[in-house]
Amino acid sequence: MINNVKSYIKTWKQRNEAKIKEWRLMLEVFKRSPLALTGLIFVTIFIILGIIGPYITPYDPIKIEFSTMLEERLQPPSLKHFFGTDEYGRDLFSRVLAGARVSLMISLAVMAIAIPVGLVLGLIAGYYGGVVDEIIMRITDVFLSFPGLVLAIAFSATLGASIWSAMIAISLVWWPGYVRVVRGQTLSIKQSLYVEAARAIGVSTSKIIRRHILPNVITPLIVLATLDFGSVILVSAALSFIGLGAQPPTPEWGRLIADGRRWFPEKWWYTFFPGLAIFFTVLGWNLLGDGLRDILDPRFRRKIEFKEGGK
Amino acid sequence: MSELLRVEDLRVYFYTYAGVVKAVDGVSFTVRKGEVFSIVGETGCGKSVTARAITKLIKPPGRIVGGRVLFEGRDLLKLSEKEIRRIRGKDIAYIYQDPSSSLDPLYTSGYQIAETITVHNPGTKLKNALKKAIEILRDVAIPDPVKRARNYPHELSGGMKQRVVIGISVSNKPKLIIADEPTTSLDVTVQAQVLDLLQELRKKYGTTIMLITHNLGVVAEVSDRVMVMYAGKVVEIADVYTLFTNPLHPYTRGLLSAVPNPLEKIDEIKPIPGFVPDMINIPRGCRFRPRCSYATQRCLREPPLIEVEPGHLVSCWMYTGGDE
Amino acid sequence: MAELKYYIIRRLATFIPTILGILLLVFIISHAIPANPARLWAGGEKAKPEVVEAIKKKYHLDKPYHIQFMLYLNDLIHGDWGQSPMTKRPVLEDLADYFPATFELALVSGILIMLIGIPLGLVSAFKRNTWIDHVVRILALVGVSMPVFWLAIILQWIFYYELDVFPATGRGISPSHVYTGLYLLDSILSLDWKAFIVNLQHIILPALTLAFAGIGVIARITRNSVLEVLSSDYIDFAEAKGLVGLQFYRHVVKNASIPVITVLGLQFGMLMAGAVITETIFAWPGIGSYTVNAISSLDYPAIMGSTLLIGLVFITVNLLVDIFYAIVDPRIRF
Repeated sequence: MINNVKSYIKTWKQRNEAKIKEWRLMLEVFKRSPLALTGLIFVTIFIILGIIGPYITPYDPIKIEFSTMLEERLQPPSLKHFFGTDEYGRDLFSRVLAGARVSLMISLAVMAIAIPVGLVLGLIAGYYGGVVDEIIMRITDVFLSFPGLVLAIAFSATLGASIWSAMIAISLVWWPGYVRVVRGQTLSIKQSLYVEAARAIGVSTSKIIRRHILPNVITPLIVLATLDFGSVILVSAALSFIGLGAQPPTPEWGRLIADGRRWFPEKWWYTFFPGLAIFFTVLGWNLLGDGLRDILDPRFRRKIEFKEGGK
Repeated sequence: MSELLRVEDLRVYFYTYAGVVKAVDGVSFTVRKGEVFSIVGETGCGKSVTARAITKLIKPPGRIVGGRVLFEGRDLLKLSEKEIRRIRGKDIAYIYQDPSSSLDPLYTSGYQIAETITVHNPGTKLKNALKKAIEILRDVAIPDPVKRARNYPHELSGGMKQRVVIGISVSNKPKLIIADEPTTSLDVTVQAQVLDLLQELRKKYGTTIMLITHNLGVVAEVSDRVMVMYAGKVVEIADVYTLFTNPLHPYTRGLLSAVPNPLEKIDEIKPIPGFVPDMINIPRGCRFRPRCSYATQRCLREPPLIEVEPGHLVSCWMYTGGDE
Repeated sequence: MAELKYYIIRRLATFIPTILGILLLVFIISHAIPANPARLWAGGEKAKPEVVEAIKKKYHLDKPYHIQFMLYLNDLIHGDWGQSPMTKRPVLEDLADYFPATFELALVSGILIMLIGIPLGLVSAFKRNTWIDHVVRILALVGVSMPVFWLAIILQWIFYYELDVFPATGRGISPSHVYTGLYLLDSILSLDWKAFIVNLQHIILPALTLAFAGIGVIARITRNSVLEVLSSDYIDFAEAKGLVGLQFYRHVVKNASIPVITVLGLQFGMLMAGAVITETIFAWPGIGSYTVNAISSLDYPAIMGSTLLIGLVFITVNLLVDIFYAIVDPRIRF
């Protein structure tokens, strides 16, 4: 039995030698990039906090303790309250930790809606071309004729101020970018010789898409999505900041900054720490995305392999 | 014929993370005035690097680490960047492989010829240089040169673009033209036209041509003398007739037998077993040893380049005449 | 040059359907998505029923959508962009009042981006893989990762509360004559130097906030396109031709400028969007402050009016960039 597994692993290794070599190389490049590693660490912390954050907060992030409110309110950072307290005496460290979940939830939801929509529409537009392509791309162009934040504000204002409407509004704004990337990639692969050959010998459309086009589309999509994770967090924070998006008492980073402005700069910690949380989270995604782009772009990878060593 | 260019023990190394690539490692040869001197070899044998090193056109991570390039008696490698720039495009002009990427897409063909004239003839007005550019376009047999001078590269065909590039290179009547694979990226019919044009211009201006190619057909057609390179080393130099009738080095023989019809392209030489060596882990001794069917123990030492008959040099232990 | 003319005409022809698309999208958001648009336009839940009725009648909200759209277009063309329940004025008049301030802010930020971003990009291209290149790379990443509203607050903190070198809010003083609505330009035109200095002091912090992300982006694009051009065959060939100085660098600059200008144009549109947030913090009396006030007072027509205006500015800038592109690059005007 064990021998079977061993021999299976061995043959699998032999069959996929080229792939394994490529992964090794990617790992090597990744390990050499301190920026990408830093990004990965930030992102991992963010995701872990997003999942368990609300359970490990030292204080209740939402409930107001009226009995101690008066002496606890607007306290500067201390060992008791790392990030100080807000005007209701709530521990800001707990609220910032809990806020990770809201940001993670919104950005995950946006990706879960925008990526599949963008992928499907982009594949259809790129692969079939013609009228379908024309219609899809015209609609896409109209959406891209607005700066994303402005359109998100318009949608969000129409749908009403809430986390849910922010999610929908940002998703509505975000899919066109993916359509464009997927379509471009699909078009270029569709015209490649091996796809033309596959079509000539009668390989089915679904198989061509699955075997040839999807794997090539996924790579740039992953890079773009990673970079976009950060942008979505920024946009959702901006929506909350101007009063759309998350509503009190939900601990949301953008909202915390908006609330803290009233007390700025005397109670600087109220705005400072939530902003720091946004900044490091978004920076993490951007560092990771930037690093991934370097790794997944073969042209760039080669450059790293042959980077100037001597003088 | 007198000597125009003498290259002595030229070494160009590339310093990469993976290791030092000795792209050109001790290459010596001479080019005589008025001749067509060809350098042949497979991709990566160092022929293009040699050509570019002559006017110090080597960029990092590459570096010219040794040797001399005597042009009319001056060592070009000792010149300052400013001095060598005055030679590039004036005394020594280049023609690069791909005319589509050699021309700047944002400037007209006429302008790109004219700027080559004005940069080397200070005081020339651009307007006059543009007029001269039209003359040059006529010289390189471009129909309707007045109109073509105003065309952008994307409006010209591949053959026409290469004519413009040739026009740029002859615009200052250089003493030496270094043509690096000038026909490789062109259609077969256009290739012949471009070669004819080069020959014609050589006669007209008395220019010496150094031709870099991997196409033995082209070599046979236009060259006077030929140098064969392998893995950064010279393996054989001879006049074209001798080389084709009496090749001595096993690599040259392989090259020639690989091409029953010398007009065929040789992108890859199949009948020679093995591959061009990995340039970082070069085999010890003769670099061709691992692929050579005559290889013996002595080939573990590097063979010298010796003259076996007047004007015929070869780098192989079989012809040293010495003991085993 | 004839091709260039045809290209511009063709490009203008595609501009019209894009405008129609924008109008349709704004129409869908404002007319079709809300369950009761008239009530939304009148100010939401607290709106008086008779006002809601009047709006419904005036804007034909009981008619089928395609007729509503036609009437909507007709209204827009005749300058009726709706009535703001907040200011009780026509939205278009409000926008006309607030737009110059936003435009001025975006313009100054755009200039800052160019003046700082392009040199930084050039330095990091020519000093590739040195510490300065790494610093610029990190700066670019920091720039796009920074929440603009937080940066604004931090800058106020440092430069107003701590150092007190720049004012925290407002636009300064109105110059003695107002010609264009751009205060800096107007102060110069009316030779009102006192106003110029004061206004310059006021615009620095908001403009810097708005430019911060763009500086890094432009620096990176400049760096990458310069490096790409420098490694191209035609630059190799230009070197082999013996070109020097200006004659050599004009090839580098012209080719590298194309992607830089494209991104710069895109950035300008982004600046208009960024202004929405930045203006609120610096109390800059522009479209952004107007929009955010509109959001908090549920002034729906104002939000839609600003959305439409910013969309129109955005595509106009893109049109200009495309035309510039065609002038520089002969390959575009096929």
